[in-house]
Formats: sequence, C-alpha cells, structure tokens
Amino acid sequence: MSTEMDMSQYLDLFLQEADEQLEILEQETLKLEKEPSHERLQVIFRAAHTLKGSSRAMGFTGFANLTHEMENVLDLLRSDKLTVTTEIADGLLACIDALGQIKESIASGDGDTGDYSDIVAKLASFSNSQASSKEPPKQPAAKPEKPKVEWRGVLPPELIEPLKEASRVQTVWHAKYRLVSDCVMKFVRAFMAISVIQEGGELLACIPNREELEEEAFDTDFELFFQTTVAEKDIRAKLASIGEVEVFEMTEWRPDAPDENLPETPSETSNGQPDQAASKPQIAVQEGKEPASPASAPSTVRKADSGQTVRVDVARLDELMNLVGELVIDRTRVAQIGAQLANKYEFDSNVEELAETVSHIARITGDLQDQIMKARMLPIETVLNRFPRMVRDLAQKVNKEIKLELNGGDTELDRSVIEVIGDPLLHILRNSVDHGIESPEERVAAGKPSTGTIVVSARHQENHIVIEITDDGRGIDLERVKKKAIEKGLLARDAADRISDKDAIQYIFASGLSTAKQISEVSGRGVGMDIVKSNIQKLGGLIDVETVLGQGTKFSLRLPLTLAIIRGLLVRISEVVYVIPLGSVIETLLVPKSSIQTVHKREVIVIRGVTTPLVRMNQVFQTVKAAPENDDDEFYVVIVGLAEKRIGLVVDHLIGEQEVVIKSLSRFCGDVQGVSGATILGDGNVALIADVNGIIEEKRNAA
Amino acid sequence: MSSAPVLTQEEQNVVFRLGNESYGINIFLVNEIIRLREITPIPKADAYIRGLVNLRGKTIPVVDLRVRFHLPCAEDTDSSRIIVVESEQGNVGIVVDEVTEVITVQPEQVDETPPLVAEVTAAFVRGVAKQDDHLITLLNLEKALVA
Repeated sequence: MSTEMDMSQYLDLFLQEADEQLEILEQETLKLEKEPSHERLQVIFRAAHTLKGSSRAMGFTGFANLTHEMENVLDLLRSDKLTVTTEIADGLLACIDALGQIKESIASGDGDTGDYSDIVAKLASFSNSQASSKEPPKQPAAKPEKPKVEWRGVLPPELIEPLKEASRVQTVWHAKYRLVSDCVMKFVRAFMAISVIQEGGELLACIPNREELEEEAFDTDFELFFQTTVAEKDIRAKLASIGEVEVFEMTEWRPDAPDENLPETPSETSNGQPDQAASKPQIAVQEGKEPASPASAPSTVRKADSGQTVRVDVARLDELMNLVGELVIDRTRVAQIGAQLANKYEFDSNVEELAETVSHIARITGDLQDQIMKARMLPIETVLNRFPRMVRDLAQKVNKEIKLELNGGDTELDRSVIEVIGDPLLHILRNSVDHGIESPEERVAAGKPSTGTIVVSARHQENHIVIEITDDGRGIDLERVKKKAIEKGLLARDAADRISDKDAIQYIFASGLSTAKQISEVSGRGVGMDIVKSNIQKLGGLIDVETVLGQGTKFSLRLPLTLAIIRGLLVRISEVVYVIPLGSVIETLLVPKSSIQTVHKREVIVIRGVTTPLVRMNQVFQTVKAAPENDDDEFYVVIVGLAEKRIGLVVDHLIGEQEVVIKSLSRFCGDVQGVSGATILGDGNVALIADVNGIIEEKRNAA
Repeated sequence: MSSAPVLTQEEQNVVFRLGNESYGINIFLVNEIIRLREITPIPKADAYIRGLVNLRGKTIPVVDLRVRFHLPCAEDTDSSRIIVVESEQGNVGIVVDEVTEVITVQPEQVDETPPLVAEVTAAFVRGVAKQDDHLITLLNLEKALVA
C-alpha cells in the first residue's frame, strides 16, 4: 500500500460521493416535506453527515460548514423540536442547491468558493428560533448527542475467534488511534499505520473495517489488530509517528481482556491493567465531537451493494460498445466472404466448417452485444428524479398546487437515450405546470380538485420505451392554436376549418407559436416545443399529443431503447447504398409504373384503398453523380410510417436486411438533412442511415 | 522582409500535388496517408465534402481540396491518396492527386504569400516555400478545412 496519496484521485471519489449523497438529500427532503417520518429524517441526516465527514477530510470547509448547519436543523427535526414546514424545506433545499454549486465549483477546479452566509444564517435561524423558545440553557444544535468518551472498539464477534486463534501462535497487538479533529485525509493516516504494520507483520483486523476506513466512514478513531516480527519498541515508535494523531495507544490484545470498551493506557509493559485515570484527561479533549456511529451506518449499507456491483467508467462502456459494433460488422463481413467461398468451392469440407464456425461466431457476438447493451442500461429514474424538485419550485412560483406522480421509474433504457431525453421531458413538464394546470381558484370553479395532477409514466413496448406525461389541466385550445397558426402564416385561413384536430395540434410544435396569453418567466416564448420535437425525432422517436379541452393533455413519447445498434433495410438509391431503419418500415412493394397517380401534382399510389404519398428518394438524396432515370416498368417502394402517417419511399433496389452499428456523422459535416447517421457495411464501405422522420416531416412541410 | 517571419524554426512538411501545384502541410498535423477507397457521398452536405470513408471501423469525412480551392475538377488516378489530418472536429481526410515527398523547410526559404497567389484563396495560405526551383504553397490547414 502506498503512502503517497494522490489528492486528485480522492477528489474524484469525493465528487462522486457528493453527487450521490446530494441526490439522496434532495429526493428525501422533497418526500419529507409531504410525508415527514423519522426514518426519512434518519436517511437525510446520514447523508448530510457523510457529506460533512468527507468534505472535511478533503479540506472543503465551506462545504462542511453548510452541511453542519444542515445537520443542526435536521437534528432538531429528528428530536421533534422542530416540525417540517415549507419554509424549512425551502431552507434545506436552498442549502442542498448551494452544496451542489460548491461541488460544481470544486469539480471545475475553482475550489471551495462562494459566499453562502445567507443560507447559513437562514438555517441557523431555524435552530435558534427553537433554541430560544424552548429551554435555552440546552445546547442541542451543535451537539446532537453526548460526546462519547469511550473508544468505539467493540470487536464484531466474528473477528474475535480468528484473533483468539492468532494470539495462541503469536502476540496480537492492539493499536488505537484518535486523530486530531481537523485532520485532513484521515484515511491516509490509517493507511500509513497499516503500511507500517505490513512492513514487518500482518494486519489481522481493524475497526472500522477496511472498506469503511477507505471511505472515511469514521470520525476520528480507528483501531488496528496485528501481529508483527518487529520489536515492540520499534513498532510502537513508528506507529506513534504517523502524524496528526491526538491519542495513540498500543497494548497486547488478549482474548480474555475484561472489557474491550474500557480505555487502556499506553503502557510500556503492555500487559498492565487498564489505567483509566491516565487516559481520561486525554479523552476529555474530545468534547464536542460527534460519535462515529452515524457515519458508519450508511457505509454499511453501501458495503452491501459493493459486493455485487462494480463501478465502470462510462467511457469504457462506450468503448466496449464500439468494439462490439466493429465485431458485428466483421461478423457480417466474414459471413459474406464465407458465402462467396461456398459458391467457389462447393464441395470443400473446409467451407462447411467455415460456415459452422461463422454461425457460431454470429451467435456469440449476438449474445455479447446483448450483454453489453444490458450493461449500458440505466433505469429512467435517473432522469425522472430531477423532476419533483423542479415541479415543486415551479408550482410554488406560479402559485399552483400540483401533485407529481412518477410511474415506471425502473424501466431501463440505454445510456445514450437517457442522456438526451432529460431536456425534452423537462420542457414538456414545464409547459404542463405553467400552461396546463390551472390556478387552484380556476380549478375549483371548474369543479376539479384544487390540486392538479401530473403523471409521468414510462414503460416498455416492443423494442421501444413509451413515456407519457399526462396532466388534468385545461387542455389545449385548438381554435386558438389554429388562430395563432393563421396569424403566423403557417396555415391558410380557409384550410383551418378543414384540418382535423389531429393535424391542428401539430402546430404547437411549429416554431414561434405559443398560445400562452402572457409570456411568463417559465415558458410561453414560443420556442421550445419545436426543439423538443426535433430532438425527439433526432433520436428516431415519435411525439404525440392528445388533448381534451378542459380535461387535460397527454404527451406520448416513443423512443428507441438504444441508439447504438439497429436493424436496417439496405436499399440502393442512385448507385449508393442507404440504410432505412427497420423500425419505421411497414412493408416493401414492387409496383408497376402505371399505378402512380397524381393528386395536386403530387405523386401518390393507392395501396389497399389507402392513398399514400410518394417520395422519390433519388431526388431527396441528390448527389453529384447524376441519377440515371429509371425506365423500368416497375419500381420498388418502401412504405414507412410515422405514427399513423404513411409514406412511400421510391428506391432503385432493395438489397437486404442487416444489423447496423450507428455512427454519428462527423461534426465536420454539419447537420445533414435527411440523414441521421452513418454505418459501415459488411463490405467495409460506409452507408448513410436515412432519417425517415425527417423525410416525412419535410414532405409534409413542402405540401 | 519587414513583417514577422512565417516560420520561426525549421519544420517538416508533407508535400502533395493538386494539378500542377505543390502544397505542404505541417507533418505534425498528418495522421496517416491512405490509398483512395470507396467514398460514400453525403447528399446535401457542402460541395467540398466528398463523403465518408471507413477508416478502421470509424467513419471520417473526406474533403476535396480542389473544390475548396476552386480548382478544376479532375479524375482520381492510381496515385491519388487521402491524407488523414487532425482537425478541431476530429479526423478529416483530404483527397490529393499525389503525395510527393516530405521536406524540411527552413524559415529563410519561406516568403509571405505573394499578393496574387494563383488559385488558392489567400486565407488558406501561410506562405510559399522555395525548394530548388519550384514553389510549395504552405497551407494553413485549420483555415482551409473550416467552412
């Protein structure tokens, strides 16, 4: 074990922990506001305490001070001296935000900066108001529990036996440390002691256990049990010299020791009776320190988890996915070569073996791909958990009463999707809060409960994830949408009466259109829904709206589970191969030229009675190479669908179906219309992936 | 020469040919030189982007400097190559007629761009190096690639 500690390495750990604990804090505080309970308070308290400990260890005093103030308030709540009010919840949340900001500033290298004295004052005012109103002589704030005078050291029973065993062979030593209270990097001290021991002996046990030591889940005390071949005097001197130690004791450990909890003296002879009088004055200095127990509690919880999971860098998972992607490409390629060889050497036994091996490899790569996809899956909770806070704050700001329900948070989807759906969802929610849900008075007048409800639910459906955001608000006034659309010149006046509700509602996604009467701070500037829609479509997803005036609105999002690998239909257009995502393909047809009809100068075909507009792909994908005019009597049409809309893409040839690994276009190429990405085919060539949604959209806009 | 010199120290340049002219790019910007391979055109992308190629499982865009420099188009030949360079937006390939040599350019060999450089837009050019009897246009790659 190295004593050379790289601070930055621990900084990452600290930041990670801060992230986790802050999230717990926020989630639980929000729940606490609605349903206060002691268990919940305990969880919050622990999280705050853990943060305090680790930030102190890293020397971030501003951070530590804030958590300390938070603890004070929490402790009062815990001991029923305060009750949870909106004001207190606000204060706690403000504190959590401030902690988040400090964390960001630490992460960006600016260190523990910022002035948060107002928040400290606010929190302090809660605890003070309590302190002055009830039994002023008591000092509950800073010291939630009586300082512990004893060493914590109760040996877990499962450790006693091995120690007994060991003590029969060789003397077992027991070293106890109490570090100075402002010790930076406590675990470093612990490790220094451990490495001293390991130079000439063996560490048998420690309190707290090794993981807790590493996670700094202890306050100032730790104890080590060890055997050594080094002379007692030497090891004692070495162990005593690790620095920043307030109290150090080393005694011989004996299984029949009367009481492990009793302090023992640093006696030279090492087998003397514990001399309490000698050690007490030293320990008295410890006044005002929290016991180690609150900190160790969450760490045992985490320990249970760490046995089954491993933290993996996201970049490594991405790289793994990339490699599997390449394997998938090569698998296809080998299969192709195999097929060619089979044609050439029809009766060669090697060819047969090759075919078998190839199919085996194909199976294995398929499994590998599945497994890695699974490893990249995250529950959608990670996104949804951001919302309760946002809705709460927003509702408060606009004076509305809103209940947010989250369902299906454990629905898993690929990290690549998780990363990008947060903002669109947030936007829709914001709209619901601001425009959807009415004010309490309005609701009561309309005969609804004064509290509005927004439900966000997620579920799997085939190979997609469906996310629905439903509110029971006022709904969208389609007449007003139409009026706005006419004003903006998006819709002809005479067409307005003819279009269906389904079509009319699509105008809320048009840029620059907001039906909000007033522009609020929250939304209503008319930017947003168009971006939401284009973001969702970029993901290969769909967005749909249903609304009933006066009763509410439902947004449905349908998203692919992954953005990494899809099944695609390979087609040839103007001598170039393109991939059409199979998810959007309804059917493929070979139709005679004579079946093309024109409606308003637009080409359509009638399939089983349904008129379907046609798009000539060689016109959409115009390239430098002039497309030879197709004078065959028949042509291929790929019918693709977006929600209930159908459109026929005219292509030159159908090539086949294949699994393709999506690679994004280089930023160098900019935003290319009609193309959502690229992939590498079995023959090593690059093919572009058609953005079906984009093409349909363009077709409609051109209409 | 009055203004600041184009080069302050000697520099290795990869020299390539486009039509009848020679161009040089700093060797540190060059990742590798590959043979011409199937380039997949990107419809609706800028005209100077010829398309995408597969570089060991990654797709990289390929730029046609002829279009960029408003030179007449020419057929690809056996000596045509793609020079893969690093740019701010990742790797980019450049199609050239031929990669001729790697030379070491001394600061005193380089003149500032003559006011009317034949065909290449002046902004893309760092200077002109005289090597024996012929001239090599040293390209400012970042400018030449960024739209």
